[in-house]
Amino acid sequence: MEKKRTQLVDHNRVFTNVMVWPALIILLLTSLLPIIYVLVTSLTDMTLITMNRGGTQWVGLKNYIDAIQDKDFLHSIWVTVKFTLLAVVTETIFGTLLALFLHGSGRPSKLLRTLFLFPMLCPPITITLIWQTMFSNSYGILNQILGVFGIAPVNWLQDINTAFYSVLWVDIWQYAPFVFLLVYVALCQMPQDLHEAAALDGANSFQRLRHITLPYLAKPMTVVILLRLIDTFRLFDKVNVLTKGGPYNSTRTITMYIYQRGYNDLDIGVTSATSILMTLLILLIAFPYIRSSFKQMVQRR
Amino acid sequence: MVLKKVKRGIVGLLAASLMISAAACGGGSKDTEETTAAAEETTAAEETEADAGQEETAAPAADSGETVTISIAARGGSHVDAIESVKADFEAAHNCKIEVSGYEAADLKKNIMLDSTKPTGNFDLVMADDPWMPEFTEAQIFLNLTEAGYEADSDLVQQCLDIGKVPYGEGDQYALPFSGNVMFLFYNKDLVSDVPTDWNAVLAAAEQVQADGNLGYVIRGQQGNPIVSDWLPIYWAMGGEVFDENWEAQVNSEKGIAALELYIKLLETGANYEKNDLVAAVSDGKAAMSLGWPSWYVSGSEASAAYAVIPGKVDADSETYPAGMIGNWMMGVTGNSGNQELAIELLNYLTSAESQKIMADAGGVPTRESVLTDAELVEKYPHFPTLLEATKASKVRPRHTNWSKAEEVLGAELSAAVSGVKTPEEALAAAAEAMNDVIK
Repeated sequence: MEKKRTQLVDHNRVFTNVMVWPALIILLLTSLLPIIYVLVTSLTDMTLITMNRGGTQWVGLKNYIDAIQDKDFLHSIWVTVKFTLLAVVTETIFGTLLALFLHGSGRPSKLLRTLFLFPMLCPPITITLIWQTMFSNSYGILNQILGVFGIAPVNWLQDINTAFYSVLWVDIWQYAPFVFLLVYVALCQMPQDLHEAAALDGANSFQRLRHITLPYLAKPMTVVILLRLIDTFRLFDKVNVLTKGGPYNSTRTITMYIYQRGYNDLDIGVTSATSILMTLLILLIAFPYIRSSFKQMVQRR
Repeated sequence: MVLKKVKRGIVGLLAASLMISAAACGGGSKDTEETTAAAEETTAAEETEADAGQEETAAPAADSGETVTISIAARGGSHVDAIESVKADFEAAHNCKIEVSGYEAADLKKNIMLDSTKPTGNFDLVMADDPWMPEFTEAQIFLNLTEAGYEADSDLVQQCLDIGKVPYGEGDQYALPFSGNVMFLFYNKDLVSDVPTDWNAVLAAAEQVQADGNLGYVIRGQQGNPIVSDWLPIYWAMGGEVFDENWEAQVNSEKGIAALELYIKLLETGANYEKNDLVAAVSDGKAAMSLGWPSWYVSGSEASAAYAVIPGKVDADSETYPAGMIGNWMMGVTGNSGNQELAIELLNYLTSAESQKIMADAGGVPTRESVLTDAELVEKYPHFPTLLEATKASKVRPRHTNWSKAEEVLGAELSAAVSGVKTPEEALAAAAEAMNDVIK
């Protein structure tokens, strides 16, 4: 009996290894090797010219030091952090309110739910191009609406006072539905007996929201916020299409900075170093989530 | 028990198939490596044979019945259509196949860059936007055409031909002008009856239009390349130079400040729009004037606005300078092409007068004087004579490998000035300092 059990354990171990290793090897080849390559190039002065003509030199941490001292790079970090915080907070509030509204309205229609999710279902570039048309000075619907009320047209994407908030609005419009979706799913899974018991005890709807619903939503919302923080931090497509980082760098995010150094200037060394710095920043944001995930995994074992 | 055995068997089979698939992929790549190695050997043999001469090299492929493939990396859109419209004759005459890959500008640059690092590249001919020329030649992406026996063709407009020379205008030829392009002054005839010939006249006309209730002059003030391209013609018309002979930035000179002040005055008569809005505004008569590239307003024989050569002087009495920005798309043979001789022949064919005439009907823009003045074509494309005149009065952007970096910092500071964040003096002083940092 004992022998059979040992055999079974051995078989399971072999099975696990056979299942895990191929995936792990592919992951190592496609993820780890490029990361190592980027790390190595970040320590060199590699450019398109040195790539082809030779002469790439080892410069140690110079690219990192230059990046940290580059006021344009620091400004792009500030723009990214400001954008991320404003976008995630607003998306979370809008998405949660929408989910609470729909969940509290009895039996919401499927059409309404689909409509709410529509912005999230479209590719980001499509959404951005649609909004670019709507922001247009010559034929954009926003300025036409303003015109109906006798308000002068606004130069949404070229005015330094409005460009940042215009891009921000597009992001909120697209991703508030993401928050809505996850919060709505969590609300649907919430045990109703707690609410029923509280109602019997005389708690009104605001008290039930404050003491039952919101504490229940805390965990799923933490995950949603972290996912949105990580995603928003990598914002690129909207800025590249709508403003190219301007006016006067007011919408130049880290990814835009890296893109410009990489694609326009072909500075591979500097681009690699700034990419590593950005990854570290994202890891810093994601650290609480990764840590709690590991804790949960250990607890389960 | 039996069920468990069956289950284990299925799982084992799946795992084995996964391992085999992985192994098969490995085997495949080995095959590919072998094929690549064989191809490189063949290429090396071809290159050795090629040294004997162009005709001798082209002949074996035809004699042996093998079809050589020439691959072109092109800017997508009308350039690809133009090549496609003439390639059949060359394919038939040389028993070869021409593959044209069209890319968006940034992708084109990236793909050329990556391909250039291989011992034998996938691309035999590549297109390059003219500011890329210093970078591309420094990185040895192009084959030296002069060393390969190319002799200058006087029919190609000199200003276009010069772009493909390194050093600019006087060195060896590395690329030929495939598609002509130079900025124009566009204006709406309903709002501006007489085309202004100096910048003070442009300002006066714009102010008059503004006083009549429309937008006078529209700038393209988007940060980066757009605002730099939009401002430089005014600076050049004042006789300004971006750098001196020692590569010291000169944009903060008196001429630079005067040019930026004039630019802001022009903005005050109109608006700061991105390209599509700018074209729509001038075409629809909401705005009077803007600078722009011909393809924005001109399509075939139709133009949505009137056009003229960009003024090269500040006022009627001042000296005239070349001020219209030239922006040709160049084409060259790659240094790592496996079919260099045939590629050179194809390049000569694509830039020949006969091909340019055919390509004009497919959206191509000629770079030869004989084609730009061809009576039949001028009847169909009335803007060709203006294009020739503007090209002859054009100016090239600074020829430096780090120009794109300098353009980026200059663009940011110009954006600060038109946004009102900095005065022209402050913006241009900061720009000059930053440009000096990146150019060295």
